[in-house]
Amino acid sequence: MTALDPKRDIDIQVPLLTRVEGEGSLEFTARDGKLDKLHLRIFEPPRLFEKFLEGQDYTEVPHIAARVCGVCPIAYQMTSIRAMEKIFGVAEDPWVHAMRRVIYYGEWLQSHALHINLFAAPDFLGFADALQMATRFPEEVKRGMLLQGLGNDMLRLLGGRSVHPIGLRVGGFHRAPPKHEVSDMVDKLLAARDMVREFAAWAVSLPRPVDEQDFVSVAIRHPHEYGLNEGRLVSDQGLDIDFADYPQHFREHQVEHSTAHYSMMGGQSYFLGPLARMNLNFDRLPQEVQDFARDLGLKFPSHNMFMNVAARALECYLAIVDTLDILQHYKLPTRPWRDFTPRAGVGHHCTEAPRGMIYHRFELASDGRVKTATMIPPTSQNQARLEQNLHSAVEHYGLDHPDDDLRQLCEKVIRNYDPCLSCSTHFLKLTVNRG
Amino acid sequence: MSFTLIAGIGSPHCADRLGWAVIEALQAEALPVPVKLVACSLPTELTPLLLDASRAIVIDALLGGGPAGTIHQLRTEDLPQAALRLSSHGVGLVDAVLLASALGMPADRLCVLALDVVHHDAPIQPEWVEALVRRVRALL
Repeated sequence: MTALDPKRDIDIQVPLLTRVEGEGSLEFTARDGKLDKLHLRIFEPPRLFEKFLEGQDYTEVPHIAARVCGVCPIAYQMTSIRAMEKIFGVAEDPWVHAMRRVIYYGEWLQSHALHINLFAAPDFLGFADALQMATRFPEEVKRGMLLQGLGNDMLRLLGGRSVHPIGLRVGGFHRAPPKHEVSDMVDKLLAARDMVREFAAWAVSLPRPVDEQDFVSVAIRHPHEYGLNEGRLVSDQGLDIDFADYPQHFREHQVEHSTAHYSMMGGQSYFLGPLARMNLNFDRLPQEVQDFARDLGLKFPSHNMFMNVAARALECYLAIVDTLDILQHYKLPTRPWRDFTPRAGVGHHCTEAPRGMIYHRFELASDGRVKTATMIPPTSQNQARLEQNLHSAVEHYGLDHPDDDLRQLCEKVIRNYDPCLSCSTHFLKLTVNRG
Repeated sequence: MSFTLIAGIGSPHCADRLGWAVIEALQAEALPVPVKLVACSLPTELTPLLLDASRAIVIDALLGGGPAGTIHQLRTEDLPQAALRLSSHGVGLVDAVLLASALGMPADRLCVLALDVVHHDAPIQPEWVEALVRRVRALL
């Protein structure tokens, strides 16, 4: 193929990105062989959830926060609940802690299986869309959908329903599932164990591009567990902080082309999500999952961005292995929540949403009403890194390729982050200048 | 064993709950053939179910031009054949059916009963549920 003139005018506009969560576009222009603009434009309107929460009673917060996202409501519920529990001095009960892991794993499994199956795999296999891929790989697509369904079943077990679950509350859960429901779930998980291994092996075997990037991984690290909903915030460049210290290390700012904020750590971009978690916490995986990863030839840490799909696949396996371990030892609690007395204060918490770490800060009044709320989702934290990734991937690939190939490359890079654009538009500062 | 899937799509809110309300009503009925009654929250849950069943009747609320209560009985080929956008915030009934078709569901397996509720915040009328139950019975 004859190389195109890299100094030609390049104008690539993708008005609506497909196979991502929510609505965004790609804007790519180059002049005289240099990139002019290369933006992921997030144009979903700001959704003002933090303002909606002001004045609400603390009991309403999990239900309102869940509405930020239909795909990862647990991330919003769990993070807000734990932030408020810190204000009320609620120590997490071991039963509650274990069940919170189960329901969070359900969210990871349904989100990851969907992403790998229908969003990422068509990119790696060279299909224009998931429908084309489904006709060639029907059994693989069906398997992915069954795993997604299993994740939804895990959400229902403790949350009552898979979309915007209603089972979580400050202090624990409204209801403990009876043993027969847990036993049914264990049977389903045991039946899915081989399936998830095959699914993960297939995802790892997809022809992954190599896109080595220099980035800083940030994730939650726990002393004994794979970081999920408790621990400290760490990076591979020495960050090791309590969640309450997040505001001292991370800063958000606005840019003209996006309704999502950009977030920086010490003035630098950083990377969240499955690959960042694997890079920082591989040694916290259950031995069975570590062995499986080695059998598949996977090595972490990795700086190939497209290992994100392999990390996501391993987390699907982790979700089933760890959930089985928890539920096979299930005991009914005396009561599935702890008592507490609401009081005024400020609480911070972080958890790991499917797409990466999410931070919440709540300030409550003495009657338990919200004075202020801050919810910083993973996609807005990843956005600066994603745009750097786009720039370096395009520069490495070269502008002497056809526009369509450049567009496909950019879309592939964006989808690899599994961005949730609806979540990311969390709040826009409004400045009114009056004459 | 062959069975007919009867799936109601919906959410807990207002008229969107219609699919669930019909499934609840059918649970109290003695039906003439083996059926699997499912209340779905997510259209993505529908695709594997459509692949397993020998026949499928899917019930959903529809926002149309009225009059309220009009039942549209649709076949696979009546559904818009638009490209699949596949954002999991945006997967709808049509996407779920398109995917099932791509995965091998015969076109004649599916019948969609969509009742025009006109406004999404309309309260569910008992006669809507009764009319849909009668239509399901007639199809079995």
